[in-house]
Amino acid sequence: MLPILQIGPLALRTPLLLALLGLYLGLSLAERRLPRDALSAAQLNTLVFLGLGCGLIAARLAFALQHWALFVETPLSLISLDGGLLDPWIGSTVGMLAMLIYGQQHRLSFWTTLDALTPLLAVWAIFLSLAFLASGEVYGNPTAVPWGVELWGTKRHPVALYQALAGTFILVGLWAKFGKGRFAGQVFLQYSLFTAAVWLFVEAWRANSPLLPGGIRAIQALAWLVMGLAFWLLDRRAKNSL
Amino acid sequence: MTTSSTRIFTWLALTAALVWILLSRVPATALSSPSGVAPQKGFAAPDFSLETSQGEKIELSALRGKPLILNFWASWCPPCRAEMPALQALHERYGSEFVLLGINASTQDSLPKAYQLIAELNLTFPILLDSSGTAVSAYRVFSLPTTFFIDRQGIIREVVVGGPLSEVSLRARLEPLIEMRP
Repeated sequence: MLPILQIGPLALRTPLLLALLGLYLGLSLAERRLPRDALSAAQLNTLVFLGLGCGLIAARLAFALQHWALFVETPLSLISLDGGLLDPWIGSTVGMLAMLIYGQQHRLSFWTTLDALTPLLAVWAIFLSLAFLASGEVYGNPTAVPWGVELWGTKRHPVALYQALAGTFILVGLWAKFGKGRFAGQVFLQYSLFTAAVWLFVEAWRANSPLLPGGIRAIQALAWLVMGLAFWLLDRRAKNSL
Repeated sequence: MTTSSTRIFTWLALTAALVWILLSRVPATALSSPSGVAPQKGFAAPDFSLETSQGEKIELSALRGKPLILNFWASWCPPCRAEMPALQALHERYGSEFVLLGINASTQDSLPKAYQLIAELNLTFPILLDSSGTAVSAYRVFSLPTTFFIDRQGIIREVVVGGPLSEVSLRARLEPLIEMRP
């Protein structure tokens, strides 16, 4: 766990640094491995930054609307750098909608664009897992395994590290396929399938999973749905491509 | 793979995944028991007993029943200084609805300078002097300021490392804790 990186008088937030590094590296890889007949590198950048920008603005506005009394008193808080003043769910939804609208306006093929974004997603997911490891937000159950990490006086499963390692294997496994899927959407759907399967498996060792009634882990339930959908779409798109 | 073998594999994989989800459910006993004591979100806040700058002894566990904010600071730390007025405003606005404790990391600070800052900013909320580093060590404070938001049951709900936190940031995190009735 390393939430802050102290370099002299400078205190840098490690999770944020890792998230930004993952975005940069993922985007660089995605630019180099664009599928044929896909969007240009410039369009890819615009798409990603438009999604991030709209998502951030929407996340802040949504949070402000939920706490409007606070923001009316100090409207300048709308531009505060505090990452806690965001609604991540609304931000993600609006960000994706903005990307969808941009894609439609520029007549980008939906599935080819998702394939083009897959290297970015694959790299970013690894770095986000490392960011969770640094912040300590994702941690495992107590364990006696030799690779357990000491956290708050107890040896625990390094769940975020498992996710990062599994993400690295998926990235390496799909590396040769980036930009060269047999049909549009194949790379993205395979990535989604493998990632969902890994998250479903690894989540079992997490100590702070969000839960559904009956003690069911919400991430596992979501991952199962993603797996089912990915299997179905892969089958359908493979048949259509014949 | 043929279509039928693909279909069989799909159903097998989804069934195995479903079985895994059921096997790895969190047992009801674990749902009701607290996670233990640790300076981390979701855990019970570590207890300590420290003296205020006025010489009064405060034990953290004795404050259970009210939402609590612990703010670790030092006078040499610019973001700590910058967020003090927001903390003071919070103390004045919500009064007895919550407890705000400023914890001076006295092992890393000069006491005269800490007292000077308290006087200069007219801070009226309790400032605890952690002269032996007990609380800093129990809360694993690696960076200043670090702020802990603790609910009525003594469970840490959020940890903010770094700052300065604005009044809006503080209120947005405190108000849900005040609204959570026991």
